[in-house]
Amino acid sequence: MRDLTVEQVERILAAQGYDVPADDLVEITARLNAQLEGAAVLDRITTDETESWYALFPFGCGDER
Amino acid sequence: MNADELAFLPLSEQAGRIGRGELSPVELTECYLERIARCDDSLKAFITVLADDALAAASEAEAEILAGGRRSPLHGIPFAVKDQILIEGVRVTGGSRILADHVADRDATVVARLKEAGAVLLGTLNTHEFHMGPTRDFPFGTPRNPWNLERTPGGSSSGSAAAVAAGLCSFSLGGDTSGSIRGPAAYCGVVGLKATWSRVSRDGVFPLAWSFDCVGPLARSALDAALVLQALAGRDPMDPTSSGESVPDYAAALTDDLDGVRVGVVEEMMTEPYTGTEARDAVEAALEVLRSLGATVRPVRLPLMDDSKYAISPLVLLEASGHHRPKLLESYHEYDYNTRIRLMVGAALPSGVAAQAERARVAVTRQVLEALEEVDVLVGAAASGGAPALARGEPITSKEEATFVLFGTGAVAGHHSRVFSLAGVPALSVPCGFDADGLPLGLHVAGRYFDETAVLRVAHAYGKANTWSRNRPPLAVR
Repeated sequence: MRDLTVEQVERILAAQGYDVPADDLVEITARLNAQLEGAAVLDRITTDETESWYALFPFGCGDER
Repeated sequence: MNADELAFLPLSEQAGRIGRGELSPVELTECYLERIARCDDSLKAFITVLADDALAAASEAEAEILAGGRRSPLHGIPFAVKDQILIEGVRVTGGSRILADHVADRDATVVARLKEAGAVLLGTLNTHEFHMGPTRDFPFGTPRNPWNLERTPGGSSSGSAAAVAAGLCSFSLGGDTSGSIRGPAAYCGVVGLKATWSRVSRDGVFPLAWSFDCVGPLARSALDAALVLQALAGRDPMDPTSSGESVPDYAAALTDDLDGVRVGVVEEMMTEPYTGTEARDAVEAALEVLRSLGATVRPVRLPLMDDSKYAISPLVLLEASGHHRPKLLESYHEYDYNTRIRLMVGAALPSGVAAQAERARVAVTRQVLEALEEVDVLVGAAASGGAPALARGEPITSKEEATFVLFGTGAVAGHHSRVFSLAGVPALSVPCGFDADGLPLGLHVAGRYFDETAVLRVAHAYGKANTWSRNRPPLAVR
């Protein structure tokens, strides 16, 4: 996976209205790239049969039992 | 019994004395207020102490009980809540300078339920900013571990664990997204319970990541935690995600033996680099106790346990950044450095990562549920060892550093708890010994959906068979 640059991350955040100082962008970029690299593991965990069913499914939320 | 001994009695014993007319709620409340005044300058467990309100509530409780109107075992019992939970007329900050002047206009459901049960509210407890952690600069003072003031009490329910451990309240409430009750409980040597997600209302509780967040008790025994959960659990119309599943009598189901209980030891919670030798040895010794109490113990594998960090980290960041967006746009620079950095990572994460993480969450959950088909509870170490040193966390400048902190051995802190957060099953930490530095170690116990009873039963029987919880931290005996 290709790393994002500080400038690219700045633009992603600016597009959402965030004006992030340069000092903060260094760590944000480092962490974001680590997250993106880590996300490759998720491809290994999941299969075509893994549906992301709604998180509330097993909990009976709202049911009066 | 002197006041300090009284402060460390389990709430179940305090309640027994109150019920028999041997202990006054006012006396107990005064005892804790005096201890808070004496100890909390160095501990920083509390953000706000409600001395006058607490004494008034204790007087009221005392009068009601004397008139024969005892409401519950919690009537007249002093408690405190993580500064994440709304209390009418009280400053609730989320541990943030952004909300330093925020006064809540209503009680969270959990606070209302505890007040209805007659419990006496002492104040709010310190936390990492917006429950995210680790916070770099705590606006209300850095919370410390009562066993060693240079060590962390864990987070984000830092004050909740430290206050119970130091004998500053009978019990507390914390919040747990990926281990924020269980980790601090392990580091501070108390019982900390995260019930099944949806078992306890989240109404009036600042969210970190709504699909993981749980409110739960920290206490000095499993029985105490059961009594508190009894007051908290159940459907709440104010929280549409709260479950209508029936609420059993938790305390009545606790036994001194574990006959017929099948315990699975999670191998991935017992091995290096995530679990050190002392923690593993303490759990091995605990397993012998469980066997002696009648449980059968067998090894269990959760092969996705280590990989679960890749799923929970983006999901929590995404949910948290969405929630905080309005405040981030307004007050970015008022957030703690560490908090705002993490929230911005959540804002920049691609949706493709979120989709994969949700799918991985299901795969991890399936593995946990399959393991629980063979056994009644899963156990292992609650943390890698004793509480680490306090650290502010220096800024990260490279992907390699970030990878170490997020996914390498720097990610040890959440290893033992996050898999059960992903699955949403109930889990707790109960004290199981001390390391060579005299710091507490914890045993993690997790169970099936809505089977808090099994989890509490194991912790109760184990807790009754040892004396770990009777030890007091040095700060408490000054």
